[in-house]
Amino acid sequence: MKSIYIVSIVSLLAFSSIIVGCQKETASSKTDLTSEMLADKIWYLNFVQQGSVTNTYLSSNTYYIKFLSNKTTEDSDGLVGTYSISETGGKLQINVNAKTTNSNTITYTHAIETIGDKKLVLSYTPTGQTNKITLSYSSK
Amino acid sequence: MKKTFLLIKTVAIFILFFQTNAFSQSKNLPKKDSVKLTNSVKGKSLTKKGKTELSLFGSMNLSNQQIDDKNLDGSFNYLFDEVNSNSYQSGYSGGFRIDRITKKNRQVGMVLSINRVIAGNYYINKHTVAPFFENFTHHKADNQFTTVSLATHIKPLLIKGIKHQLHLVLGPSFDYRISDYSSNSLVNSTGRTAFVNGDIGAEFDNNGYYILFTHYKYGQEIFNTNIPVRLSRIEVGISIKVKDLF
Repeated sequence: MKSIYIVSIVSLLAFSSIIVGCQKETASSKTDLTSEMLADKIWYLNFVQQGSVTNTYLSSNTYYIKFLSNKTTEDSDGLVGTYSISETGGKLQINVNAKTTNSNTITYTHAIETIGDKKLVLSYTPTGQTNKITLSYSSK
Repeated sequence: MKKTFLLIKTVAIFILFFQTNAFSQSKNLPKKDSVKLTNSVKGKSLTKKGKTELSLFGSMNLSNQQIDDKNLDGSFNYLFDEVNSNSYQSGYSGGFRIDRITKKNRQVGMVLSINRVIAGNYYINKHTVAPFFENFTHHKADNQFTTVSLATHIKPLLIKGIKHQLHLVLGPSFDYRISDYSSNSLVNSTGRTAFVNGDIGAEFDNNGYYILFTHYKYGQEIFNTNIPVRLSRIEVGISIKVKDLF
């Protein structure tokens, strides 16, 4: 009977040493995963919703925006610049700092409602307005 | 690398312990009994009270995990059809088991194993962002990972033949994940995963030459309470006594 106790103790010690020895993973940040999902894809605008009105843009000539892994961005309107991902109050945001074809600087921040490998929903509230505009993209 | 070293170290401790223990047991016995014991061990079912047997086992597993992401926020989406496969997928396990008959004539067992779990993922919830798209989940769980597990079982005898025995297997087990996490999985988790399981099964002992077993394990994840995961596994395998192998 004594040996079974020793066996149990050795097993438990061995098991515990594995559990303690395995280093705890550090949690991946939301911004890292967002960058991973966003980058090196072309995002095509499918829907724009303002208030209760939803417009559909599912044709091939729709607006698109590219986000590259080197943190640069360009869109079908000719805006070229850089972007960053941030997290404020638990909400993810894309901050874009770009220039138009006429070299005018444009900066904007869109909240990320949800992001995946193929679907992206952004939103923003234009200055002076109360209705939020929601933009739905899909990648190809 | 560090984890592999730890596992090797654990296996080495086990082998060393059992070699030492077996040697000391046989050394304490009178010479005549020692010879008798050696002859009686090979190819015989475990029948002697207080005797401990060490066996090696290997098994194939079929696994399915049920994921409930209702408590997560909506930052990420994974298309349901791409991540959901409500099926059982096959993995494998290997390790040691120690069987013993207690003085009260009850057969008990302890299992230490390493398991490669490849699971079909079943997501309970489907989410929608109306009117843009529908049927997605907020979490993508890893469906391939490695665990180290410890189980303790009681094995009431169901059928006893002249050469064969059939046992019912009951008991708890504990699985601790030792493999790395994907970024998708890690973003919503604590970085530690462990399952507390309830095990039930049957074991067929062929005159002590080998044991064929099938176990069903149903486990609840304990470290990530915001994403309750339930893991179901069916194990089918064979166990052979170390003394018969080496």
